Amino acid sequence: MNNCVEIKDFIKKRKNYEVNIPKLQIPEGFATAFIGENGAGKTTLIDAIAGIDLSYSGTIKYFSDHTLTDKYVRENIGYTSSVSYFQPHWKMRQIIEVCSLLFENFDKEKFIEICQKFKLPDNKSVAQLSDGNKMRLMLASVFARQTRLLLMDEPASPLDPVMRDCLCEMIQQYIADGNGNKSVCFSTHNISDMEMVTDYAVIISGGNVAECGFVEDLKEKYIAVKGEKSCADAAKKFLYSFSGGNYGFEGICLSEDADKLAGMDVKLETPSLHQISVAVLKKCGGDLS
Amino acid sequence: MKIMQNSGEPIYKQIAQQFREDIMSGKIGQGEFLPSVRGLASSLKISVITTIKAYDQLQAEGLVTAMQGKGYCVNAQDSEMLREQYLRKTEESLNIAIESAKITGMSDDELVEMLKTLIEFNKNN
Amino acid sequence: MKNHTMMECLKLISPDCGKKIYIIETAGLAVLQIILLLAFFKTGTDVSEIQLTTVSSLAFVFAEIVIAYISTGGFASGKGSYTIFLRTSSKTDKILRSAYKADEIRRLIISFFIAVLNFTFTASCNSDINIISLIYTSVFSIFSLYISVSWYVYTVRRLEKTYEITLVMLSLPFVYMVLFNLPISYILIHASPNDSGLVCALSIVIAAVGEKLILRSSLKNTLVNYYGGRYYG
Repeated sequence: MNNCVEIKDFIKKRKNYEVNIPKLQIPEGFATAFIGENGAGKTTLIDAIAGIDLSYSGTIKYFSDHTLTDKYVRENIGYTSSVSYFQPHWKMRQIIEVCSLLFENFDKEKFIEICQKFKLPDNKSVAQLSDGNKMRLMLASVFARQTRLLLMDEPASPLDPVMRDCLCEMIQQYIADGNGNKSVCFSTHNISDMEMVTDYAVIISGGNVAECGFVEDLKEKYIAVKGEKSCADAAKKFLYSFSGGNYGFEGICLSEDADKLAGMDVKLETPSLHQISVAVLKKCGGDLS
Repeated sequence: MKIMQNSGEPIYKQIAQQFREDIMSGKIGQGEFLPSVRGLASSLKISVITTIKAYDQLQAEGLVTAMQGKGYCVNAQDSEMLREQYLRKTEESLNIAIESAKITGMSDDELVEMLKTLIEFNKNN
Repeated sequence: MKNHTMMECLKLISPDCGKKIYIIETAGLAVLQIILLLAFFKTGTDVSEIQLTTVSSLAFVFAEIVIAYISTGGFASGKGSYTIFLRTSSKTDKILRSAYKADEIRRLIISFFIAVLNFTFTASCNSDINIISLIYTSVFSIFSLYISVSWYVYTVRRLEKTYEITLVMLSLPFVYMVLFNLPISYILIHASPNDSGLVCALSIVIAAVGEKLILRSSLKNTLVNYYGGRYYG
């Protein structure tokens, strides 16, 4: 399997902490989600991959053997930031103008088409738009380009439920169009909303990759446990995450530990990505209560 | 193709099952290709990796073969052997049902009646 | 690739946080000039000359503000994330390079404008003026500006680390001062037969220093935003 991004010995020092990733490979042709708490380093990582922040040590390779200095790489990466990066006084016309100026593969007709689909007003300036509409505008501008990799920092956060669904559809359409060549990476806090498009998950905690893998593999690696209060204490020591009340408990444990729960009055089921993420993050945060 | 998101049955198993039926019944013939992985994922609104897992399962069962850069191609089916396999499976399952019925104290007639009802029910769905 | 028009470049080079610094620095420059003028006044220089130099300085400040306003697309407010957008394009480097050129040309025009202003006003109030020294000053002012901008752009383009860019940026005004302005001013002051030459030379030095400050801030905005973005901006 090819990788669209290969990160090696990545270290980025910031004032209060550092992001340290010895090795990370993002498979080509899939949608990858970066999951983590606020300040875990998701944005740092995405910005480094996008070539926006160059002050890190380590190497990042793109599309097998390209580096960022190849013109090809930037031409084939579409990036949306978590805040609007257009000048506030721009209207649709200026955005088209500047995008055509900056990107050879910008398709003006497609941009207008997507804007109409998103119901974006074309006579308002960027400053007058709501956060959701600003995000739509950025999304329209990257989907209107011919690219091989989309990097999106928190694309779902400012969007309404209908629009999130629409975003998922567009991501899937994008990946389907590429037939194995096009990949999408996004960071998200809305794991449940994005789960249906997530193929590969990278869970980041405190600047390190806590867990990564294909979602289906993670769902086999971990298992969700539910049980009565009576066996909560006995089960607790095998669990990654635990939450319980007066009536019962639930948590996540490694599938290989599932045997140890045999004989207890518990039910096992396949966990959702959301459950896995929370469990891994809690475990890394060390606040297993 | 119907996918139930909350049925408890993993989605990849649902997909594999439906293709299995289609291949067995001859709806998808030998030499034909399954829909592209990413195309199917997009139209079913599920992740690509789920589709790949379903296809991999079919491949492990020997129903299809992955062809580099082309997709998944349906193999020639040894129908007699498969039939044999499924007959055995049916027999096993029915045996389990009979055992369970014994525990509850159901009479033989009641069991047959129940089976008939279930067959009817399945047809209607 | 096609050559980018001046408008295209200005559209890109106008960093949204540049306006404030433009204004603060031009205001600072104006204050500096007024202090110097007061010093002249104290030493008993001709009053009409002081008035004229004041007018020329104010005209210069005004011109800078107008140009800053136009080139940054008005005083729209916004955060410095626009340059992130610039950095996602492979063409930005090339366009920005043209943009520096456009910026450079704009500054050459301003320098020329200042030189002419100084020349006209000083000449009109004193017929004894040493014309040759004035022309020298003007030409050298423009030349030194051109050389330093080219050197600046050339150096910074090859840097990727923020601290390197910062070092170059901090050193630039000094390099400029030491290499060009000081020797020229020294020569002029000693070559001028009378006071008006001195006043003229000084006013040009002041203008050039001010010009340097503005140049630095404007390029700094573009470059720091371009390379360091919101992490360092």
